[in-house]
Formats: sequence, structure tokens, C-alpha cells
Amino acid sequence: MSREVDIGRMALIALMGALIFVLTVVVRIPIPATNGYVHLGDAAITFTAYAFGPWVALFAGGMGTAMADMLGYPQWAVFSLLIHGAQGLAIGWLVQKRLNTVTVLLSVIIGAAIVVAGYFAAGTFLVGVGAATLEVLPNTLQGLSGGLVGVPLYLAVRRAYPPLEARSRRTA
Amino acid sequence: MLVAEHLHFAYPPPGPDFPQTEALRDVTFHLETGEALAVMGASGSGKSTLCHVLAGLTPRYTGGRVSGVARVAGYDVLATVPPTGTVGLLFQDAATQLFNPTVEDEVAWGLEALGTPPPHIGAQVEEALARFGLLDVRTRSPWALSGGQQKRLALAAVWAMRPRVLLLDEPLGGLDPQGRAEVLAALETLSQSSITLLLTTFRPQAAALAPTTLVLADGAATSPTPTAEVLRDEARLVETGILYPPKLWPAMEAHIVPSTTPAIAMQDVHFAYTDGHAALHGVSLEIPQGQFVAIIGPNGAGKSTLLRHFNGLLRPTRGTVYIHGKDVAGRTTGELAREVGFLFQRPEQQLFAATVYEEVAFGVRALRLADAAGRVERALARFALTAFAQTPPSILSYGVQRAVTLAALAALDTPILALDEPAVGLDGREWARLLAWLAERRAAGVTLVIVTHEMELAARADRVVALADGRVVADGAPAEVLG
Amino acid sequence: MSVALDFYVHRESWLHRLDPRVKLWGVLVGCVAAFLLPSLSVQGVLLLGLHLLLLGNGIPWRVLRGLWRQMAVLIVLIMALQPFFTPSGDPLVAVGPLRLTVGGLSQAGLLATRALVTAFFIGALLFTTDQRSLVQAFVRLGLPYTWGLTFSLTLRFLPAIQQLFMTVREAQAARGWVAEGNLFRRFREYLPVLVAVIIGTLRMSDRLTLALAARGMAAPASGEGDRPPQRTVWRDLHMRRTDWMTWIGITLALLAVSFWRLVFGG
Repeated sequence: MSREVDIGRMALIALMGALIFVLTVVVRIPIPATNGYVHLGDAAITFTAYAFGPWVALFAGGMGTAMADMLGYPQWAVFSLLIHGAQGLAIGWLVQKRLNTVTVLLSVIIGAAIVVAGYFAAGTFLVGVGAATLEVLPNTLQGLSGGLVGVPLYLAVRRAYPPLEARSRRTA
Repeated sequence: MLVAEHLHFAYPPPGPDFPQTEALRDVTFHLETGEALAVMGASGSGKSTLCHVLAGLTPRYTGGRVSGVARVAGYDVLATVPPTGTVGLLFQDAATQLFNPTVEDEVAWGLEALGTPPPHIGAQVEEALARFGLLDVRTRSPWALSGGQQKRLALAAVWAMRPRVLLLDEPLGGLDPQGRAEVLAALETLSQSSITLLLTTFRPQAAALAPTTLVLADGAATSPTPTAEVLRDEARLVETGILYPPKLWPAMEAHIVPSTTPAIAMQDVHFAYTDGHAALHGVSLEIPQGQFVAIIGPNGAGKSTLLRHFNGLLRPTRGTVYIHGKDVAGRTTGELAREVGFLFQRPEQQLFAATVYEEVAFGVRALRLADAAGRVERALARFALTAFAQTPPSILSYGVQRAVTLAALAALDTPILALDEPAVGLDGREWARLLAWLAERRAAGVTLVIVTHEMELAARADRVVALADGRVVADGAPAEVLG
Repeated sequence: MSVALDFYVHRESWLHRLDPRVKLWGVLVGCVAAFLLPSLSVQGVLLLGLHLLLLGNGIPWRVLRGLWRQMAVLIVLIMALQPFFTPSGDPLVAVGPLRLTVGGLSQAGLLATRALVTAFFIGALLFTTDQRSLVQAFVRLGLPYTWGLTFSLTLRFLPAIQQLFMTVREAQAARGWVAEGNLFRRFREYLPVLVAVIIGTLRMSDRLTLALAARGMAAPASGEGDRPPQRTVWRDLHMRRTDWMTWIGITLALLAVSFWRLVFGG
């Protein structure tokens, strides 16, 4: 942030961070195959990156997920801050200039890859390579859900809420 | 002190394909130091916009095109930001205005922004809290307060900054009668002080706080007139959509289909939330088909909890609920939605679709109802929305958005309607629309259950059920229960 | 269920009054120690010490039990898996390629206790520090005020957005919305709910922007407008004697641990 305070961007980061938190913690879509669940936090980060660019997504994504970790997994918070911050930054950067099939596909894959690799590395450090390996498959699904829900979500919001485009230009 | 001359304002169009509409058209008034002015107008008439322009927020933070003159305490607010603390603004939605962890931090925040020396802040916080009766909640979270308390806190936080001009946008908006009484009492003490005051409202009690009033209609303003004179001309207030006095309300003619099966029956229903908080303690209730029932009671009495049992959004912890004679246990909310139509508080929040047509069609399609297109067309026509069919609901005014939510409900054409506080914050025009539709539904034999704080609406029901602490404490004809 | 992130337990105790900057330093040093001293007995002592510290400063056992319960799944997971990934020494039991060894078990035990120690250190900070002081601590340590405020705003709006989400989901359920079927169908079915919640969130953010500006959040200086006044802080943090003493104690502990590690570790 520059020295001049951009109040609008600050409020946006705070509220998108809160939204990412809520969708991470509150929505649990069960996956019978792995006996786990998928949350919608990555979808919210992907939406934020598409709508408001890399910087808002970096801060909102990192902060929202790190705070979500405080409910039950506090030792992961620092890693989530970095991993989801990087996820938001990368996706936002990829689609900021050009939005086409190639950049969209790339953003979905790279976004998911950052999540999977990041949590594997953090997991090896925190809970050992054993538990970390077990998490690779669910994390892949979780990471991909970001693009699979987030991209259609962005398109749907853009249709339902035309002022979004003007806002995107202001904050990116 | 507060001057507007030929003030015009238009918001930026929501997108390239949409027209720009004027929110303010030629507004002119002059207020000297210590004077008070009420601005009356229906929802969407430009009241909030006027406050935001005078506070120097619009177009600075919203974009848009402005012309004319707006001066506050000698500062041209259209050109420069007046020094912090010159203008105080109480927003219509007080909850968003409160963003600190505790009540006292909330009041201190503005003083910190003013650069008040820290040793003085404590005393000023204390004074503001005392003035608005908030000392006993000073360490609570603002978010946990009642609506009336939140408004008073927002007022205390603004007042503590000692603004030279105070703008109150719909200070009684969104409150139940209890909250309105609290805030009105706080405002009365303010209007007797020497502060320069502008307040917007559609309620005569609030307008009466100011000696003069101007009326806004679609952004155009009358010249300031003595308030008593404005309030005397009731016909004009009705015509501009501000008021809808009960004497004009349609008769709620009952059309009861004789049937032995009650529309809704509850037997000894208990309900506790997962956090252990028990909201209902053994409610038994039988509502015959076609009856109009008003459910009243203080906040936290369990009214909304009770209503949510009708379509399975909540399931009883003990006891049974029957809809048209069938136990709701084992039936999904989706199945029950064909029988019970539900209107929530702040329904405009649920709008999501890309067009009004899609929005109204959503429920019809989700429930796979027959004659989908016909239902949608009829509902759109009924609420004069056909012209907006291809517009995104998100860019319509709140008034029209509420019409969209009613149309979405009407398209389902359910034999039971459950409405949770449908009257909160409605101006005259919206009251008229809601009551006309309810009267129609009633004539068609629909069972109506309405949770409300508005006693005039409850008085029109066949029967009033009063709840307190999760129990039915009174049940009978309106004259008996309301006394 | 409310997701409000509020762990603070209101009490008047030494640990509550301790300057949050000192507490942050303590948490950092504690977590470093947990990593530098890989010994079950050291971790055990740290864990026991933390429990005594918290109980002695008015944190009820109920709160600590809550933290234990949250950690339980993770601990079980580590103990059940890790021994097989890092086998060392003689096998106690061997099933096919899997070997349960003493070395593996103690390795897993270390990981598990380390996770517990970290969680209790963080808990000790959050149970005894209210939100305002915590944010102010970071601001005094150099975090720009706007960042601290952004963080506070996020906390403040968690319950608001949760409520928005719940209301929208209920309202759409009452119109026949369901989320069922396979994962991909559910993804698609969540879209209407998410769209409404996002539009609501963006509107809230617009209103919050105006509210902050109206209350004197310093706006970008517009040409000749007066410079906004410098913010002051009500009830700022001040390091007292005990705070400095504790700070010195923690720093000495860090030096001792590093020294121990250099000399005896390897």
C-alpha cells in the first residue's frame, strides 16, 4: 500500500478476507471417496484474484485462510498465509492482463499446484512426511475446486452485478 | 452553515449498457448555525445520496457527476475534503458503521482520528456514552447490541467528535418500535442542543424534530416548509409514497375454505440450537386453512425460530410439526417449499440472478412446478416488473428489489405464506404494495402467518399469538391479545 | 455456530497485564525452543509449564481442555502414520513392508508434542490478550496502522458475513434450493448462494469505505486540502518494569537454548 491510504481497497481486502475465512470454515462439501470434505475457500480466493487482481488476492487470501487456521490448526497459520497468499498472487497475475482459455487453464492448474506443493512442504516440516503424503490427494481436489468453482463464480457475479467490472479496474 | 444550491447528482452507470440516472435534481436550501431541517422522502428518493454529497463522500468515493453548490461550515465539499470532524454522518445502516471490538473503542476511534491528546479521550468517551445511555454496555462488542443500541452507539461515536454539522440518514430506519422509541428519545435531546442538524426520514415522528421540512421525490426537492404544514398535507405524503396510513389499508377479507385438516399444526414443539440455547419450550398451535395469524413478542422470544419450523429449515428437538396434516419429519425443505412460501428479513440480500426473469424463475424451476413460464410472466406483471425482466436485479433500487422478492414468492403460488418481519423499513409505497398483495392472497384462501412488531398490522389479523421466552403467552382475537 | 475468532478470556492477571509485545516474543522463543530441543522430556516440561502458567493466571481448565480436543485428531494422525515413515532401530512389530520401531515411535512422539507445545504457546497469547492490544502490539512493532486496522476489520466482519451466508442459504433453500448429488453438481448448485453472498459483501465493503472516510480515516490529500491530523492512540501500550524483566528473562532463555544446541546438539 502506498503512503496515501486507499480506504476503498483496505475495506475490500478486509471484507474479501472475511469472506474467504467464512467460506473456508462454514461450507463443507463432503467427498465420499476420501472421507474428507472440500471447503470453498479456494473458490473465494480465485474469485478475488479474478475480480480484483493479484494484490488484493494476496492479502485477502493469506489473511483470510491464516485466520481460519486459528480455529483449530494454529500452527498451520503462517504456512497458510504464505501458500494462499501466493495462490492469490499467482492467479491474479496470470489473468490480470489477458483472460482467455490458456490463461484460465494455467491459473487453475498453477493455483492448485501451489496449494498441493505448499502444504506438502509445510506438512513434512510440521507433522512429518507420513501425514503430509496422506494429504496430497485431498489437497489436489481442494486446490482444483478453486478453479472449478471460482472461475464460473466470477463469470456469474460479473453477469449478475455489472458494477463489478468498473470496480475491478479501480482496484487492480 | 449548511448550504445546497441547485445541487444535481448522477451516479456512474452500472455498466456500459446502462443509462445514467439522476439521483438528485435541483436541491436548494440554506441552514444557519443551530437550525434543523428534515428531509422527507420515500425509499429511493435520494435521501442517502443527499447526505453522502453533503458529507463530502460522494462523488469522492463513489464516482458520479455533480453540479451546483454544496457548502458545509464554509467549505466547498465538492472541491475539498473539509477537516476531519466538521461534518458528522449517521449512516442508515448503523451496523456497518461500527467496526471496533468494543463499544468504548468505537467512540474513541473517531477521537483518535481527530488527533485528540490521549489523556483527554477517556473523559470524552465517558461523556458520549453517558449521554446516549450506553455506559453499562461499554465493554460489549458493538455487533452484539440490539438495533436501537447500535444506532445510539453510532450516534455517540459521531457526536463525540463534536461535528459542527450533524447529518442523520434515516435515524429510525430498520428498527422495531422499541428501537425507534429509544433513538427518538436520544434525538430529542440533540435537537434541543445548538448543533446544526439535517435528518432524512419517511416517519412523521422524526420529521417533527425539525421546525422545517423539505420533501424529496425522485431526487427533486420542494422548498423548505414548516414541518407542521408538511405533515398536515397527508394526501401529498401518500402520493409521494412516503406514508400509507392504516385508514387507507385494504380490507383483509377472509375466504376460508371449509376443511378439517389444519394448514399448520404443532404439537409440543421444543427446539434448542446446537450451542445449547433453547429457543422454544413446548409450543402447541393449530392454524386452520385460510387463517391470518400474526405472531408478536419481544426480540429473542422465538418468533423467527417458530416460523422456520414450517418449512423444515429447523427441525424440532422434540415434538411434531404437521403441514396440511402430514408430518414434516422425513420431508425436505425443498418438498415443503411447494406448500410453504417464505419471506425472510432483508429479502433483497438473497438476489443473485443475472436478470429479474431468472431470479423469479429460480424457485419455480428448482421445485419443477408446472407452467413455469406462465407463473413467471404473471408474477412479473403483478408487480409491474415486466419492463425490468432482462435487467440484473442487483442494479435496481431497493424498492424495486423488494418487489422482485415478492414476485419470486408469488410465482410459487403456495397455499401457505410465512413472512418474517415483512414490514421493517417499508415506506408508504412499499406498505401499499405488500398489503394489496396480502389481501389478494387472503381472498384466494391462502393461510398467512406473519411475524411482526407492527401492532397495526397485527390488529388486521384473524388471530394474534404472543410469544415470550419460547412459550405461547397469549392466543386469541386481536382485540383480546392487543388490548 | 458462530465463527467469531475470539479466544480472549477476560481476567485480571499478571499474564493478562504483561505487554503483548513481550508475550509475542515469548511465543516466538518458545516455538524456536520446541524445534531446537528435540527431546521428549524438554517438550514435556514446556507443556507442563505452559499448563501451570495458564491455570495460574486464571485461564479455566475448560479452555485448555478445548484446545486439547482440537489437537486430538492431529496427534492421533501423527502417531498412527509417522512411525512407519521414519523407521529406525529394531522393529517391535513388522507387517509386510511396514515396521513399527522404537526410533520411529519416539520420532512421532516428538512431532506430536512439538505440535502441542506450539499450539499452547499460541493459545497462551490469545487467551490472555484482547484484540485491541494484540493489533496495537503489531503496530508498535512496525506494522503500518492501516494493516492493523484491516486485520481488525476482517475480524469484525466475520460474524456479519457468516450471517449473510446463512441467511442467503436459508432463503434459497426456502425457494427449493438443494445441494446434493456428486461433488461437481454440488459445486454448481452452490453458485447462486455464493453470487448473492459476494454481491452482499461488496455492498458492505462500499458502505464500510464511506463509514471509514466519514469518521476521519485519513483520505488521500486532495490538492490544497488541510493535511489530516496525526492519529493518536487511546490507552497505548507501555513497557513497565515487570515487562522489561520478563523480556530479559525470555531473551536469556533463548541464549541458553542456542548455547545448549551449539555445544551439545550436533
